[in-house]
Amino acid sequence: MSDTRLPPQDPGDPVDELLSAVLDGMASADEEARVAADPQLRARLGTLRALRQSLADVPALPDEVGRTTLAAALVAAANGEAEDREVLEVEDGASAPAAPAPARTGAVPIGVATGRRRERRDRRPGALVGVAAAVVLVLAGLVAGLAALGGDDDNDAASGALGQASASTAAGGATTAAAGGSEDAIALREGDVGAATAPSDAGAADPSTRAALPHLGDVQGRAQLSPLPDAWRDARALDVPATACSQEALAGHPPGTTAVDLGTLTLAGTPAVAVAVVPVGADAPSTALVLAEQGCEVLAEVPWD
Amino acid sequence: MDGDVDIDEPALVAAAQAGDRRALDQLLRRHQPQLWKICRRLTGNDADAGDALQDALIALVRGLPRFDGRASFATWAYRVTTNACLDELRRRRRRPIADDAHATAPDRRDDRPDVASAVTDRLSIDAALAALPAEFQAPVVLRDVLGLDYGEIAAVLEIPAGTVKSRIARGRAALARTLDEGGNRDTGRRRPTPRS
Repeated sequence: MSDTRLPPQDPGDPVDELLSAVLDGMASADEEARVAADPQLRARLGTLRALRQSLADVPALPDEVGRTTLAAALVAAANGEAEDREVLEVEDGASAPAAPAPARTGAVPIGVATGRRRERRDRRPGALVGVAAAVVLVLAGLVAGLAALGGDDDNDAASGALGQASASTAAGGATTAAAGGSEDAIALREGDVGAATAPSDAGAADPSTRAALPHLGDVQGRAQLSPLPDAWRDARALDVPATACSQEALAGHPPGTTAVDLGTLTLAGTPAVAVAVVPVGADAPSTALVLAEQGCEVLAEVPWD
Repeated sequence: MDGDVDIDEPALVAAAQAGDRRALDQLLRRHQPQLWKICRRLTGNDADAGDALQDALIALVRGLPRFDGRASFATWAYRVTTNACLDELRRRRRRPIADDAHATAPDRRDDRPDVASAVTDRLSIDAALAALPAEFQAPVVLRDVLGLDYGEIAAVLEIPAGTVKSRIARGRAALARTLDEGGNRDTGRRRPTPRS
């Protein structure tokens, strides 16, 4: 092929400039007449015209890319400074326990563009990890609630669930300090503890047998969950496409509700998705659910006001 | 610069700067398709374009408080996005090239297509653009993809309009030459030439 290195300072070919000017409608009448009278110049002009046509034919913006890039920007706008602080804590290893690599790096709708981006996340820790921090915090809060659920009756099981919770986000295996901190901070109200629902529990999808989790508003250390509403608002504003499980989450809820995916996690070894169920027009979700990724069983439900 | 995109744009920008999330969302949505075109053409593939677009949008959001309105928002957004794309290209140059880097490039034989045919080949266009120095890529893309005039391109790239005109002419000529001379053969995944 030809060498296309073009020293910017070198003067160009006057004919190239003439043809380009004609193409752009910037040539004089005399110049246009000169090109029109010369078959070779006309041919070259035709080539440039075809080239311009092809350049303008840009592949359309993929819907997923459009959504995720916009989500990333809006989450950055909402949580940028707080996330940056959180990222610094995580990167410094401050009280961040080692977390297993996520078993699944599937769809996390908030601020995650592509798998390739995840592979190269070390390039832009401020942007990507910052965005991921919001999702991590969301999941940490939910998982912390789950851990608290089994706290009185089965501390080992609760700790196991918390320990295995790893947000499948752009941050990869990053686990926030909030996750570790909330393990000690969350206290249960008497009567809030229900039967822990195992993923294989046949009755898990039955609302009457769902685990009843402490109301987030009553959870000590709620400040650690403060990014949750903002993260949710971003997701709703962007109309994040619902997964099959988020659609499933709407079953049993009144008409006029919608579901917003918050992210993915692993609960006691079971890949799960966290979903906020939101009445249309409301300012906040009414419920946050954790559903098994396969089968969409409701593993836990968190009332939310 | 963008026709109806400019309707209420200053008010939208002001609202977004004041923290109105809906205005910010609307503002970004307005420009996202055009920004994607820049990224898609400058990077040459969807994956890198998505990365660059995300970087650009985040940069716009974070830089919005400092946007002073001396240029239009679109001009500023195109500048930020062009820079994000050039950054993406620099990062790409540092990445290893796959072993099958030339596997998809067609051979040039006697039945080779002429330029008019070649330019309709999306891969050929992407490859030819990738072989063009960045100084020429950006003006050509802003002109032939977005339809900006020389003055607007000069404002985006912060170079004189005369330089814009020259670089567009030379860039187009180089693209046509590349496609005409069998450049398909080894441009399949060629790294872009470093900026001088």
